Amino acid sequence: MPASALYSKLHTDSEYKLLQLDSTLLKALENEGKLAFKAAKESDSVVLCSKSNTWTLKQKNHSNTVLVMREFVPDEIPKIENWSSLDVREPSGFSLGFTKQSYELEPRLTTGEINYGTLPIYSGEAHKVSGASGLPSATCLSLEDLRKCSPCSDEEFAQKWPALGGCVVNGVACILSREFVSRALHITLMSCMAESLSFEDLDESQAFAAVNKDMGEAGEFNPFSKEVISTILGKFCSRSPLGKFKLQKETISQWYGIEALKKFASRVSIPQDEFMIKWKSLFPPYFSCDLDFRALRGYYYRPLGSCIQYFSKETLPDDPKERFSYLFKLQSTWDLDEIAPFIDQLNTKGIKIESFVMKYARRKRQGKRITVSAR
Amino acid sequence: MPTVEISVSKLGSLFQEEGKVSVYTRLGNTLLEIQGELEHPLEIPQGDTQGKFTKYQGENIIRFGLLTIDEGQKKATLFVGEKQRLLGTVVKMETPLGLLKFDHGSGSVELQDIIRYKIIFKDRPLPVM
Repeated sequence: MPASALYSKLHTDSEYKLLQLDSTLLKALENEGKLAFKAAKESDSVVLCSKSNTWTLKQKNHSNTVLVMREFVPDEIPKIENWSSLDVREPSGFSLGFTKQSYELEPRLTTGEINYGTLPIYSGEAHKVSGASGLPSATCLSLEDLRKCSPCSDEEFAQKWPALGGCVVNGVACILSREFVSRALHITLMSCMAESLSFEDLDESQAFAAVNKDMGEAGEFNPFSKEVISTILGKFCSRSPLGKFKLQKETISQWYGIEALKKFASRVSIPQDEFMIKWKSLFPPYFSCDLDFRALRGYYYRPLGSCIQYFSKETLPDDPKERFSYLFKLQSTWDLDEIAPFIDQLNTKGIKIESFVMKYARRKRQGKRITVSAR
Repeated sequence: MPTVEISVSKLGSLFQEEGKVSVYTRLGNTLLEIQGELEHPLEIPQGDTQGKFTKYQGENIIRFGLLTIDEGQKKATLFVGEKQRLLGTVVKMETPLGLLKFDHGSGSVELQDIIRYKIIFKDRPLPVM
């Protein structure tokens, strides 16, 4: 039987680590030939990114001796008599243990995130990028720096950045304020319609030219730069492989719907029928799109039966019990479909939402409708 | 940090899995797992060491045992020192392990190998008579 003599370094190398290569990682490595470790800061947890996917890494410790060895030829071949007592022949190979591992890194596929919390917010003022939530020390990063320090793959970044309202103003990556996005969207839609551009096959430069046709003539500041229009198109359109944009009317309709809720139904509740008329009135003239009230779930509640009132998810408590009791204070009985967006993020284990609500509330079935109320 | 790339330029051929069981990878690496501690001195002791300690590329190394693997590449025997014998098996890992080398000087990471099999010793050592 061939035998190999085993050696180990007295002081093993600590610069090696073992990474579990599951099928997704293996495929990414094979196709792209490279992966990148990314972290927001030196102290933050590290993620692994390919071109299109992001993995979190978990350190799985163990107490076994795991020795990674490689074949080598020692400078000094040991004498034969050392082996004779073990009833094996002279070793035919030699292996050197060069690193001992006490853990493996386990990757888990996740969705990439962009670190936009500290970015400045831009509302279209002349040459001004204001600090995020009034902070004086908002981070001024270029888009490239932001990409590098966001735990997110490049493709996910390209998709998420415009969806967040991310834009570059004066070389600084910033987030466009909601009001400014609304203004820019409105103007883009009106200008494109005025120029009879097709919403099915929109060209970025044509859209930009249309928006800027009557702007900045008297030398006044024009906030609708090419980058801003690009963000608006990225946020509200899908992109074809040829680089053309197609308007996502559902997204636009929802955006206007939330604006309408904020404008007309934030202080007092209004009947749903009346709201629909107000919602329709916000769109640019002659712009046609379907209004689907279901798209606004998660942004309103019904304090008095059929009337609706705007309500922001951000104000809800994080604790599941508290959140449910808060929601039932607002409204004693909810339709399951209407309460679901408010509690979705609590359902971390991904249980069916119907079963999940039963943990904290009472569920009733009335025909096809499922209602949820306090216990 | 914030971004470090793992380069795998050298490893194109490693992604194709070999049909047959192979304890050593094509680059000559292998993984030995013992459910227990493998203890050896960290410094060369004084006195007669029976030629166990040598140097390799300027580093002190110790010869700690002898490994035999049967022809079917299934069963392995590890002699540790001269008195202990461990019986183990060659197993295919559920997920292959990538061997990453972190170079702190240049801040780069290199995937050096993909290890698909390991030799595992789960049992208590047996005495060598």
